Amino acid sequence: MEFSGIRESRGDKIFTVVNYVILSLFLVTILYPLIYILSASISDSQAVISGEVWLWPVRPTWDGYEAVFKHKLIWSGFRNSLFYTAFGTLINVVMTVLAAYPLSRKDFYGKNVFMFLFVFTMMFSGGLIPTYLVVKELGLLNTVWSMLLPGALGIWNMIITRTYFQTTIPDELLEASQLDGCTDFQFVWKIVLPLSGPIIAVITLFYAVGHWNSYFSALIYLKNQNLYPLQLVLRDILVQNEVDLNMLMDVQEQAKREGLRELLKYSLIVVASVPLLIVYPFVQKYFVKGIMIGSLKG
Amino acid sequence: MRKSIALTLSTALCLGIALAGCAGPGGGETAGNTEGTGNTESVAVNPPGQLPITNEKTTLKVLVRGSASVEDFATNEFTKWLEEKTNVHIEWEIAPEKSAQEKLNLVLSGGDYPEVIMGFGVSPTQMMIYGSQGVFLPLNDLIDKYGVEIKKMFEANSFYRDLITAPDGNIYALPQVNECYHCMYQQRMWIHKPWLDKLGLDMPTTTDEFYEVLKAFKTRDPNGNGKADEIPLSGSIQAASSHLFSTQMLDSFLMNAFIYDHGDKKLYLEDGKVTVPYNKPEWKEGLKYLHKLYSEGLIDPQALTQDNNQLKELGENPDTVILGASSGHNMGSLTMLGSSSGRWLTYVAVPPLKGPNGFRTAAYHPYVVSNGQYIITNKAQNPEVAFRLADFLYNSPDTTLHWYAGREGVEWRYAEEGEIGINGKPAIWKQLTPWGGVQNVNWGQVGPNYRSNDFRLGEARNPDQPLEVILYNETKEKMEPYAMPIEKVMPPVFFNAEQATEIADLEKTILDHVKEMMARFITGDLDIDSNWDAYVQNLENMNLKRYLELYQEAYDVKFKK
Amino acid sequence: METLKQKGTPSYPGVIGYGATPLKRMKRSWRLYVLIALPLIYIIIFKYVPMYGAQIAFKDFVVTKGIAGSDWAGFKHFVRFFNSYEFWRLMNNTIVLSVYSLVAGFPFPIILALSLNYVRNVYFKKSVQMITYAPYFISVVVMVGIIFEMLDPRNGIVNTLIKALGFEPVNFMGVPEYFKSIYVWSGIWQNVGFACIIYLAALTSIDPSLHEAAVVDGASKLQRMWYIDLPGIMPIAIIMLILNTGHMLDVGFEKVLLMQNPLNLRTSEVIDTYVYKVGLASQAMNYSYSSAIGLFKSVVNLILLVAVNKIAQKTRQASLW
Repeated sequence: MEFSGIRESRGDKIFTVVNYVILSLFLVTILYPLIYILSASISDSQAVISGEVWLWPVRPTWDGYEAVFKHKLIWSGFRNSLFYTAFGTLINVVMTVLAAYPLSRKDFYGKNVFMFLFVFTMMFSGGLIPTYLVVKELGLLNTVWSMLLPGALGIWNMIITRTYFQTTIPDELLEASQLDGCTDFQFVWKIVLPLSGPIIAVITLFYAVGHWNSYFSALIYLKNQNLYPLQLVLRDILVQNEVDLNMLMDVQEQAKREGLRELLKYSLIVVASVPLLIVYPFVQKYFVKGIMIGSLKG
Repeated sequence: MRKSIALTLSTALCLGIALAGCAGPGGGETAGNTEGTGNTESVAVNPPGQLPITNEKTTLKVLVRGSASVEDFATNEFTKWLEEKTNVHIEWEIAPEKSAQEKLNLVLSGGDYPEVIMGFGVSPTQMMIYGSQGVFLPLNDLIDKYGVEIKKMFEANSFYRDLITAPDGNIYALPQVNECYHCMYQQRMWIHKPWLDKLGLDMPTTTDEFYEVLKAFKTRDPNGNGKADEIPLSGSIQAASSHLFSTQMLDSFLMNAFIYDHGDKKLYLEDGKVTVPYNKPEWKEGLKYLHKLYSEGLIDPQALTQDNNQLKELGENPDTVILGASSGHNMGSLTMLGSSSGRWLTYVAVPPLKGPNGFRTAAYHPYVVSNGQYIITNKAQNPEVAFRLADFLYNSPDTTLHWYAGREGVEWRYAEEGEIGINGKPAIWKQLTPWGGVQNVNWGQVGPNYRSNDFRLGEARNPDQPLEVILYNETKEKMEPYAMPIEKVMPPVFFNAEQATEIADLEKTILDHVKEMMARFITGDLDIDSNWDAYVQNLENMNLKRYLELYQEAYDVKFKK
Repeated sequence: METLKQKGTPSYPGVIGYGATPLKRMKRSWRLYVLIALPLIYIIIFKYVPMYGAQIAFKDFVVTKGIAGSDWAGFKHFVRFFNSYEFWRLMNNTIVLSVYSLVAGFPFPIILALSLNYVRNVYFKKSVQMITYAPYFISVVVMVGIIFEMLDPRNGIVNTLIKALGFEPVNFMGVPEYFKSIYVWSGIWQNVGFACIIYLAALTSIDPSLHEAAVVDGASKLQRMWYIDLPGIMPIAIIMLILNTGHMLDVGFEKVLLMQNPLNLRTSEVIDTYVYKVGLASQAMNYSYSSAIGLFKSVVNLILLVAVNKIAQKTRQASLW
């Protein structure tokens, strides 16, 4: 926050210093394990197993990543995940706003009833099998829709969005627009949405992360390997290198597999999370101070 | 205003319930789907033993549990070879390995299961439930009429047939039998040989000698670096997330010098009566011995908290060896097999120790039957074809080698004159290319099959692959002479749904308690002498009696003569 | 533009006042009903319809018989759970772990968000956000592995520090009393960056003119934080608290499972790990039993949620309804 021409008091200066120090300390504690993961993912597996790696990579090797990218389904996995994430999130955000806005209006008749209906579904669920059967009856099994529809609305995110609307869309704004003859639809489209940059950014992020990391729905609804999302493929790779002592195997192969598994644990995390880490800065843009609100007020 | 809210609410609820009513009986369709065979034209099946199985090509729909090592069952070389030989074309549905059980349950509940279910290791209880409903077909008649290879397997060992027969007399699924000789004596102790040599010690034969050896490891600096950093004995608790006991736990090997400590549940038979060791005075003696070791710093405190990875880290300590001994299935439990450090070759097996009361035994696991690997459902249009396919998979060594290794002449070949097998007798076959990674030439050990001891040990020795030979020799020389008598070993039994439910609760609570108290007595957190009686009483309160009763019921039903 | 507001009555043009009949009010909001229609249909189809499955808790469910075809069992499963030897220990551990997580974990994302808010160096701010956000993506297995490594009495960094200070190394995982702290603090570490995002968003929506005015009045940053920022995010914070309470009995089980060992079992066994083990060991996947326990948890969670919501209503800041 820049206020030109206003000098900071001494108290503020101390505050700033303390602030930076605490944040830096915090940063370091988080940074260390992250670096460890990166290092382990490119270290020699023997080094990882024997505990030699503690900060920097030891005898670097790309084996872990090679194993990941060699898998035939990895690229289709990426592609599918991108698709599910993009479209799934779109559906999610639309549904969320559709539900959150009416619930945020004080004059919405029956809003507590509806709210309860929504919250109830967060607490109680029919269970895996009945949900599966419903999806089956709707003919969605083994289609992309089974990845996009069953999770179309996250109640948690919806509630947060509602709270945001309640606290940021002032009543005066609504009154003013209605005096101008604005309908609810127009109000949402022209005024609410543009003002809701931050919250939409947040729920987009949350939903996107949810989609990107999901694998269980794919596990139960999909049969066709070409529809598999990335996480499912990645888990497959990890499992592939599990070692069964009852199986006759030659020792080098076993060692390789076991070693690979150690590396994979880390390289998989890196591969899976890098896209999301790259996306984050774009979302960060939206956490910009209430420029919009300020300007509209005048 | 209130009335309208109530109105809205009840409308919503009614709507919900109405819709629920509509979708409710979704499961009803699957009830007792007993359409048997012969719905459509039955295919003429050739007489047993004759290939191909049918003269025209038949299709079989199979749901298989995915294997990490098999790239694609549909395009697999072995599948092709199988189809050529038998004329049976398989339409595959592959369930991802993780959560395969959930997938199976969903498929069964949705009613759209295929003709054959393979590789899931369906439990005996599930078999009984679905068998009694007719969803799984009883295979007894098919075995009698069409079984050729499977009969050979039954002849080789009479209890194989017993083990897969449910208490109602029906066989609902076919097993995979893998006579892994060294696995039968899997509760071993591995000790670092160079340290024994360096300190001029003999391999210990009694618990007292073992104690002395551990003390020597600790005090006489066998790794020669001037620091007392040696850890004489360690272990891990990999199976912490389950109440069952793993072979790396402290009791796995050592307790067998005091009383029978068998496997993950510790049940054993005493004159046909099901019993457990952990409420007996001998168990207490064993715990006191372990406590003595612990209190003198001979046992790694982390043995009771660390997982497998940490144990291996210990074993693979770079440059200097610090781990003296640990129990485990094989050296790979405490080191990395085949690693560049070569550490794994330096640990050798300790023969079972004799305890202060003269007791000595090697826990014996002969029931190497993995049940529930091949099931023919009531949706099968040609169950005879489905069965004959399974029967063919039991053929050994030819089919088995193709199923297990891959293509003849590429991944394996028959042994030549002069080649010696792992067991020292003339070899039967020889591995040509190393396997174990992801491949598409064999089925990754999925499905019904019989690998006899002779077959496994008939693999030609390979100087680059010493593991099997080492394990064979260690087992034969050191463990086998002290094998636990087979009539004391608890065989796997069948539970019906009621029993299974009761057992689940009891077993978890009891075994968890045994594990917890074992840990606390060993560390000295609780004094064993003053707390032993309370511990035994606790087990009684957990209904140990009923637990043993249930197992006895299941055992009697099948095995009581 | 100023509009005269009557206290408590939304003063939108067109609102007739308290005399309006419910039907009239509904008609006024018809567009809002249209908006909410789609989400409503969604939850009816995908959430309410499958709820018939809750019957499983009261039946002896057999997969191939279907839900309708399975026999009624009444409260058998619930009784079995309540009578089980471990019931009280499970409840105790679950609740302790949950409350501890909630109470300890609640302030940190807020503090982090407030802290970041006052950082002027954009580069530093964005980096901190990015880096603290990353641990969220570490899988449970690796996370627990890292915890073990760091707490390892032989080589772990924590014990190395302890030894350097002259004390004896501590086997943290072997002490039952430490389990909950290790669990909770590692959870906070992993989630704080992700959780603070929501607060950051809320902070950006605070009217900057408030801050301008405060600075002009000579308020220090701390004072601004206390009087402007905190109240600004209070509604969201309260909602988050209520929602988290609604998941009180749902202590994530995978992480607990991986961190258990025989020595800490008595403080580390929670409801979900118990159900998992009993279900896994049970040779017939006992859906009915786990369903009954799940239903029990849901009911308790709902009661807690309603209770906390009632308290929130009293503060007149924010509540679910």
